[in-house]
Amino acid sequence: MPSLTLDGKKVDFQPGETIIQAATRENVEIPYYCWHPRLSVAANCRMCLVEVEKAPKLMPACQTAATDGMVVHTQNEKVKDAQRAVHEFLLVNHPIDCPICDQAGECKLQDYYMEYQLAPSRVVEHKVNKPRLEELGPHVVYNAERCIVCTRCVRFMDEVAQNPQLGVFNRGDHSEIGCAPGVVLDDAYSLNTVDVCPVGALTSTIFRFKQRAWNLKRSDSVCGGCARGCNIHVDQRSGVVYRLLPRDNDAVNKSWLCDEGRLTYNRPNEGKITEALIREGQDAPTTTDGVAALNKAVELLKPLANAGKGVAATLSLHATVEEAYVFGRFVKDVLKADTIGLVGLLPGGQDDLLRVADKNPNRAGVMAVFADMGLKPVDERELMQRMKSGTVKAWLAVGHETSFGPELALAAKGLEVVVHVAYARGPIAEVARVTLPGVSWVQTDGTWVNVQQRAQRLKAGFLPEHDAKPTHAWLMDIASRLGVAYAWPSMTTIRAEIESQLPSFREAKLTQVPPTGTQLPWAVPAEAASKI
Amino acid sequence: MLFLLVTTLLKFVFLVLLFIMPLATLLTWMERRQSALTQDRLGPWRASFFSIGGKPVRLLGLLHPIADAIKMLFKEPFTPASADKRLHAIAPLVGYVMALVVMSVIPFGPDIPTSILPFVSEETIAKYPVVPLQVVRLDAGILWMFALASLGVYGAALAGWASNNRFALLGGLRASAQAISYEVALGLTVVGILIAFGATEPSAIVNAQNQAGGLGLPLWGILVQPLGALLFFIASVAETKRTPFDVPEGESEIIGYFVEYSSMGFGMFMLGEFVEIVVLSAVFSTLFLGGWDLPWIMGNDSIWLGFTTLTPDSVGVGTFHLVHMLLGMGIWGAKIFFLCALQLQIRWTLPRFRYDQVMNLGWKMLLPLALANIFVSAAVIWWDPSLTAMTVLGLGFIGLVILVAVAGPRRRTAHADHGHGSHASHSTDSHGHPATSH
Amino acid sequence: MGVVRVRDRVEYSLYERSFVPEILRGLAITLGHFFSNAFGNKETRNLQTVRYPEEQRVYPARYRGQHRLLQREDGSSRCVACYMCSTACPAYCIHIVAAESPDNRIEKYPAAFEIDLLRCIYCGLCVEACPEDAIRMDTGVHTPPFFTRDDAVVGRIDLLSLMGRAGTAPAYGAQNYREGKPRGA
Ligand code: SF4
Ligand code: SF4
Ligand code: SF4
Ligand code: SF4
Ligand code: FES
Repeated sequence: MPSLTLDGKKVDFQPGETIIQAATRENVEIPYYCWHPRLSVAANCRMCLVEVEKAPKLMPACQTAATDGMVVHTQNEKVKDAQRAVHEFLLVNHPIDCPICDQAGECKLQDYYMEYQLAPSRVVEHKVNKPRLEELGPHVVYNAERCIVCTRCVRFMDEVAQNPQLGVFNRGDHSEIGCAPGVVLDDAYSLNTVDVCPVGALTSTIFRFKQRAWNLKRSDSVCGGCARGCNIHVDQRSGVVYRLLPRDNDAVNKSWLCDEGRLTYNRPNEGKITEALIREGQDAPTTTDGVAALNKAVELLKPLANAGKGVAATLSLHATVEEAYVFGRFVKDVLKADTIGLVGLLPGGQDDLLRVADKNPNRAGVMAVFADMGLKPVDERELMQRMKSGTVKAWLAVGHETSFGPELALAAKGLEVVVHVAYARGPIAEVARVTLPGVSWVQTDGTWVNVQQRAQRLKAGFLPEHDAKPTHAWLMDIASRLGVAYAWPSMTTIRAEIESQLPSFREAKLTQVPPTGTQLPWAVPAEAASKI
Repeated sequence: MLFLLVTTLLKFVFLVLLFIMPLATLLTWMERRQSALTQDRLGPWRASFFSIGGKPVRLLGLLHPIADAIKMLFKEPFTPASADKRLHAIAPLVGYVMALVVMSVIPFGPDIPTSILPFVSEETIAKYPVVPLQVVRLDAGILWMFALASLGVYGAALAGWASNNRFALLGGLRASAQAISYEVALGLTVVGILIAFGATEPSAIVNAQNQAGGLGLPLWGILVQPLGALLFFIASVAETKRTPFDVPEGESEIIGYFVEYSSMGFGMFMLGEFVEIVVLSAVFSTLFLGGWDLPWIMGNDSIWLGFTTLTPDSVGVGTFHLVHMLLGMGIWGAKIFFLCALQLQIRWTLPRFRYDQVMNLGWKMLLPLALANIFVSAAVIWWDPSLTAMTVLGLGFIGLVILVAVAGPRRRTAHADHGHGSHASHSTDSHGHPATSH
Repeated sequence: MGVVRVRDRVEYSLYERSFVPEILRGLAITLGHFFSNAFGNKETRNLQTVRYPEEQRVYPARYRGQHRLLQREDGSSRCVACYMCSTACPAYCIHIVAAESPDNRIEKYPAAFEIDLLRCIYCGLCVEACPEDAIRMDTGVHTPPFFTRDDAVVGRIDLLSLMGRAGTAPAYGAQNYREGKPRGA
């Protein structure tokens, strides 16, 4: 294997790699702006200059291919001088209005200034004025003054989104990014340009000015926008989710996330309930104490538990594998429902990059659990049919994520008993006698299986508020009051039981899913293919 | 019978409504005013309900207790959801009532002959020749006193337990542990008095102290039993749970057994504390300061006023006894007032003991000293039953304490001698480390 | 780093452990104060109490009083909703909702700016943190009493209407960095 000497250390590399790639693997930091590991090399920012012995001048590490026997210095005075000079140059026309810049706190320009320049400005001339508020598209706002013209955004649109809506206009210090006349940045992946922008030039309309980056707390999760299950970070503060950002996963979404998925950031906030709802007679539901609601739910479900006829139990396709298993056990051991239903969202837009038509993030997982447990679910239409015909008299609705909410609610109006577990107040909560406050997927610990049959872990970003509890906890509470005590002190015990009880998950190692997920040995459907 | 009932009731009403309650209320004001002046502050002075000629009447802040009472009454009485509701409500009353009951055996003036009272028939006079100024005269009065005084701590213990609050419970436990520890010392120190005067009836003890002793001095308990008096005083301060023994309250660490009380519930605890001060002062003055007696001036049937001497013959039986009674009650009140003021001043002089120090003091110092006091007193009485020897010994002890206090060794301040604490501090050294006690 | 000095506990002599003489001496001190204050004349009294509000101390010039928000020349708030103050605040008592400003040179303005005076510890860190000199504590007013908790939350309009105390530094006019003028000139 060829090798080069990096700051006196011998470093092996694959033929064709650049210096920065070799250095990154060795954890030697070379600062860069325009380079992006998943985009082509532009080498226009010059931040990555390093000294290569025998080369006449400093070389950009992002572009220079590594060659056998090369001797590279990244730390010497010459390099540091160059870094200082390049950085000063980048800041010549930069407004440095960090206090009102959304990028502050996660801005490369700030970080590198502190690390590589840290010198007062010598600029006495007026800075070049450029447009500060240009709406490039429905989701992206551009501030030309802050732009360092690294062209990462342009290259993203060209190479990854394959929809060249952006370009560089004008020359020199008047260069700016823009769309050609008549073009708007409305691609389904346009918000990735905001992520790749190393500074605060591109901001997203959905996050702009909502919060400062340093106030947010980050947790790792999986996007619930469609069955692709892109890996994400959830940024929240005080229980309010402000944005979803892509988390690297080579097997699923690389570094990207579609706009549609990002826009689901508000789902965990919208209509969120943290207190139980109870409804008497024909009144609208009113909030009540969690224990009182639980007692009421138990009182309502108790006669049904033994009747075993005319009882429907439905689960949302947003449920995790663990919840699906607990639900399955509950309907078999406790409720003895004769109609099992699965509710979910209708298919939507898709493309050959990330988005798939199925908008339910865990269809594969829930179906597998149900199949293994011998549960034969019906869909919403059949369920409504049975409600109207009177075959179904009582309904336990777990999860509210369905496109048929209003229709189901209408059909369920005549039922004697509707008990609902959901994190938001949807149409079903309006007709339910009791609604127990659940938690959304950002507050859930669990596993989803995506369309590629990959099991991926959701991590709870923050604790349930007030009386809210995860679905499985509510089901276990009801079960114990109806005389069935489950011995699952923790999620891990549930996962271990799934592994040992359900054939499909025997090899799944659910108890130890790594951050990027495990591929399950199941047949992968054709629609899982992606060109990303 | 009716006569007995009426006089007892009158005495009780006088004692509770006209003496203890007003004095306890006054003490709440004194506590703040006295501490303020001690600390170079002004204290409460502002309350005023009306003005004369445009100037608000403030009476040195004496109206503050009334304002406080109004405030307390109008606050929300709060009971924690998980508290034991009944016990929580009863607890503040317990200590209070016990303290008042103790008071009933304390003589607060000389006996008055029934014959001088109006509206009394001949048979009554024959049946009840004198009216003792004491609500009940019990032969085992002292024992009754201590039996009930120790029940008082139930108030704190119940409050702590019924509140269902860990801090309150800790406070209640500390209070009970402390009360039990000091009860022992309290009881034992009294044994010395019982040995000396050979009586367990409070008014008999008072009368015994009124006799002239061998040295021309009265036989006051404090002269006969100075060590006993000192130990009793310390233990009684501990019984009132006040600084330096206020660990059950310990507001800087656990807030105390009454942490879950508001409004008048808390008010009762606070007032109860002052009632306890009054009662224990009364007990102290009965046992050690000759009760209502004023030596050399008040005789059983003469009052020496300097220029003249009143006797029943010179001014008439009725007038003499009236003056005799009023003077006795006044003296009694003055002694109690003085003791209360002293206790308040002690509170504002000393820091709080650490809990182990409280226990060590109680069990390792007071208890052995009280026992030693009993043995020495018994031996002296056996040798000289006339109490003269005991008085001499007592005077010697008092002299020794004063001498040591005035001329005793002193620690130098932290600057002069770096290893030691400042001379006034006994519970922390100069760097704030708590000092060990032994 | 301070030096930690570990010292052995002081052993007290029997004399000290008897407490009585020391307590008598302590009583002498406190009683001395009590009597000279209670019954003494003007010279011996040493009362430190100020009878507020009839008597008032003059607050020092740099007294940190209630906050105010400063205005630009056109009366709008100088604050650009940067959250620096709320980030610096150790009591978490500043609540800001930022919004898009109609003036795109300014970009951001606080749609809501609330200070919970019950939580505020009057440390002045918000004033130090502000890059715009938009918040100051120079009103010379201390926290007013409140009857409800909600009253203690002061909003943007109220904060903007407060004036600085005479003698404190005047606010400078709105600056536009594009004009190249140094700040505060
Ligand atoms: S892009 Fe970075 S350096 Fe520039 S104003 Fe924004 S935060 Fe500050
Ligand atoms: S907008 Fe951002 S990503 Fe695009 S060129 Fe400018 S600095 Fe680079
Ligand atoms: S003075 Fe201190 S506590 Fe008060 S708002 Fe400012 S930073 Fe917060
Ligand atoms: S620091 Fe100043 S400009 Fe920033 S939000 Fe606070 S008051 Fe406004
Ligand atoms: S990162 Fe190499 S030139 Fe920009």
